[in-house]
Amino acid sequence: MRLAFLSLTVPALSALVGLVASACDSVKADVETTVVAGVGDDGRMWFEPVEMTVKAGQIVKFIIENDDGQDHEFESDEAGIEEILVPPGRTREAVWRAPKKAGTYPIYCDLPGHRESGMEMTVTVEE
Amino acid sequence: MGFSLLITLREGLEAGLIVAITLAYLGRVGQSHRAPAVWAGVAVAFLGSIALGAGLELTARELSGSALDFFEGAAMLFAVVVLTTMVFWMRARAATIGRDLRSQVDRVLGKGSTLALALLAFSAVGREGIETVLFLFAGTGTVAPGLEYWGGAAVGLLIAAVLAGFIYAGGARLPLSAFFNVTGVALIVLAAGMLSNGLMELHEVGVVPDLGPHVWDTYGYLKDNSDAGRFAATLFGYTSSPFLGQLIAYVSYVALAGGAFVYRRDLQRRSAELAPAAAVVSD
Repeated sequence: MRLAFLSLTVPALSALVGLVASACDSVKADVETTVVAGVGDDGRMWFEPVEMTVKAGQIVKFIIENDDGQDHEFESDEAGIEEILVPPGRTREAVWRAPKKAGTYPIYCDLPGHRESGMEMTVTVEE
Repeated sequence: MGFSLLITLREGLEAGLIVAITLAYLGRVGQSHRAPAVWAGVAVAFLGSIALGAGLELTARELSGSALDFFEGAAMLFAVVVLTTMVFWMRARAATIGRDLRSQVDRVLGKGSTLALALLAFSAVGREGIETVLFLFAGTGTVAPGLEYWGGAAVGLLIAAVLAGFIYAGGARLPLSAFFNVTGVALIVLAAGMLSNGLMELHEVGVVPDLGPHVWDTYGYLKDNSDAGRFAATLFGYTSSPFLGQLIAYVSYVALAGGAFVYRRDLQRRSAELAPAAAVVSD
């Protein structure tokens, strides 16, 4: 019976190991763009660029540089961009496939008060 | 996948044990005709757990931004409390679970109520179901739950059902003590990750105001938003640039909960070794 127990759990654990081994992301981006997060002299927060345009279905690689002394985030519930925290002075990447449908999508920092202070950009998706 | 598989395997086997012990005991006391009441209780508990999970998921889908972060963070911390309690409760009860359950069934059979038997199965299995749903939901805070996540949950449940079937069919002697010890330690590691992730979520919405500075940055080696990074985040609470507060919480939890888990096991083993000697002395 111990054998039966092992015969069931070993494949399950092997599947886990296999998943880890195969877990590598290798998506080739159509467009690569650098977004800088910062704070102006007036205390307003910003993303630079503020706007960008991509074609529907394109794979976009955002390289997000935090030029500020505090944490910022880069995400969009509307566009389906997963939240990523960018520590001060650090760089992060986010790979995103633009929707098939044309439209305008906001990308923002969702930390308390940051979006309200201006840390938001828009991506326009064209057919 | 690994997270959801471990959760449903462990919780499913706990529920399966309860059902197997109850059904086997009914057979032994000549009350097998009451087995449908047990299955009815199990079915209602199972469906109720799915309804609870659907409710949590629908609530989460209605939320976005900070509200969602708060909901997920609170669910994670609540799951840590439940998971820790469950691991230690199971450890304390493992040795007597069969005897306790049989005496409960005896009491219910004494009353002659089929409904009470169904309620017994419902409450025992329902508790495991609620725990499973809560943990699986908390796990979705760090990974987008796709086919792998739910597939892992299904595989874990299937393995648990097959093992429970072995136990029922042959009164099989599986190495259950080893199973609960190993999964107990694994669950403590999962809970530590959940604690760290939960604190991070609540920090992001301002509920936990300060977690201190970032301790290091390993993003160049393992990206948080890669598949492997998400996998590590779900299993171990990996974050490439943890806050000092997260790290302290993680290490403290593993040291305290893990230490208590191992110490109690050692204590139980020593007590078992000393008991016969004590009996000889008293003779």
